[in-house]
Amino acid sequence: MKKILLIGLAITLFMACEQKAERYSTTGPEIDLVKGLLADYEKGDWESWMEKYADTAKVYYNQWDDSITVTQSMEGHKANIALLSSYGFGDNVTYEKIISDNGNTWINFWGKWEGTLKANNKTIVLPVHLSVRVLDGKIVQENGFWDNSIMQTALREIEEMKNMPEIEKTIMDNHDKMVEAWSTNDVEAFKSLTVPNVIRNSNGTRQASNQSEYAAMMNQFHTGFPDFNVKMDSYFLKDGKSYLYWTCTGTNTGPFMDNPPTGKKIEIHGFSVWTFDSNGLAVQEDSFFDNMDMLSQLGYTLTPPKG
Amino acid sequence: MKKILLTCLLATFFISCKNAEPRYFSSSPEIDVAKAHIKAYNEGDWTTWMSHYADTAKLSHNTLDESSPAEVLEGLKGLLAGTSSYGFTDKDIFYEMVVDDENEKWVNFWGTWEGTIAANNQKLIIPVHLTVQYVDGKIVEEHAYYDLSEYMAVLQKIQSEMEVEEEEVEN
Repeated sequence: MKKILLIGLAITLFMACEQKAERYSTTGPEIDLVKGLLADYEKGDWESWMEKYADTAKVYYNQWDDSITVTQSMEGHKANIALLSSYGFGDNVTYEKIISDNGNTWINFWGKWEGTLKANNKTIVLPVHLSVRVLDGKIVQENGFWDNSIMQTALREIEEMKNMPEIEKTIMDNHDKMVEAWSTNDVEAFKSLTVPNVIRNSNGTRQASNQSEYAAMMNQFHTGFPDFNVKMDSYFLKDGKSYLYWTCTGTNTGPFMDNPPTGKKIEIHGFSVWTFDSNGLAVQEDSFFDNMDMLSQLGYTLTPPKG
Repeated sequence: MKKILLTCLLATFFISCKNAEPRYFSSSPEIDVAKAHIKAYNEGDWTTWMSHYADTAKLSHNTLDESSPAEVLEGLKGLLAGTSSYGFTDKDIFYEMVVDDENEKWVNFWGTWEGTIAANNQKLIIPVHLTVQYVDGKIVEEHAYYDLSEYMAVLQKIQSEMEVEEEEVEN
């Protein structure tokens, strides 16, 4: 009798343990199913992808109330993929299987989706969460969460580019190259984007009146800050002019304006108005930034005038 | 001998039972903090909201970049500035906590955000997912997933309407 009791107790304990352990897991056939689903999506194997869903499966993307069918979901994916030269989730993904209080099996997925747009070669990165309910080896419900506005903004930019007059496209292109030339101290590139007598005014004062003077000024920054970098924060074009908000960073490890290196880092925010000619070449830059801020970051101090 | 064997067997089960401690919870102190966090957000009680984060907490909302709680708060306030009302509803709201393979505690939240845009009284419904790691009752990592496309579309519509109005005034 004792024996039976003990065995009974052991079985009960064993079962209780099993039950607890099963509610969370990072492996299992249901996880393999969802892994297969994503592999099919990446390969574009829609037949195999489709087979993983139950016929009546409901798909909710950024929605709670209005579901779409698996076929509609596939059509949506195909339409998006048609705009891309490459797409997929990298290896940095997380899967878990949970059993909810009402006994349903859910696979939760978190991953980084990356896609490159054919139209402008721009790469979009989207964090994506999927929560997928699996029943009898088939997906019966899928809920997806991600920020679609990121893709929509990129598509709108492409649309705006299409409607843009040719000269504006050239200006925009040259404008991007100019910022690149600034960051890389590429004098040849800079010269190909500007007229010979390009002007630079800094806080209202003439700093350069031709390409050589401009290049020398650019070089001064790269000598003082070998890691000098210019980042475009935002800009817009209007009537042949670009209005650019920029951020410059660098470490002062070289001589700068006849002063020894300070070893200090700078981060300067500024604003430039670039004027372009009818060929899309830059004729003038009017740059505005806080010089005092830059010198303060380098450790210079201001001495008050003697009374 | 038999007794010893049985005792050993029982001990093994106890040990394996200990190893198989629950890893899924639909209630826990961390979930309670998460609920208080959502409540603070709904009420705009930013002091309480901030108090749930560890000083070094890293937050990523719809991005892989990491921000501090203060930076995210600034962004949220910006988003909410144009609303006349907002908050998570009681409908479609789920909390769970799991203990992952690294023994980290993560609270997963699924909810429905509802807001009204002040400028045109338009109502928006946005499903939101948060996955949040807790250490000693404080949030150390937070990832949020929600679609802002409808929100952005409304803002754009309002902006273009304003531009048209401005042009009309100028003319």
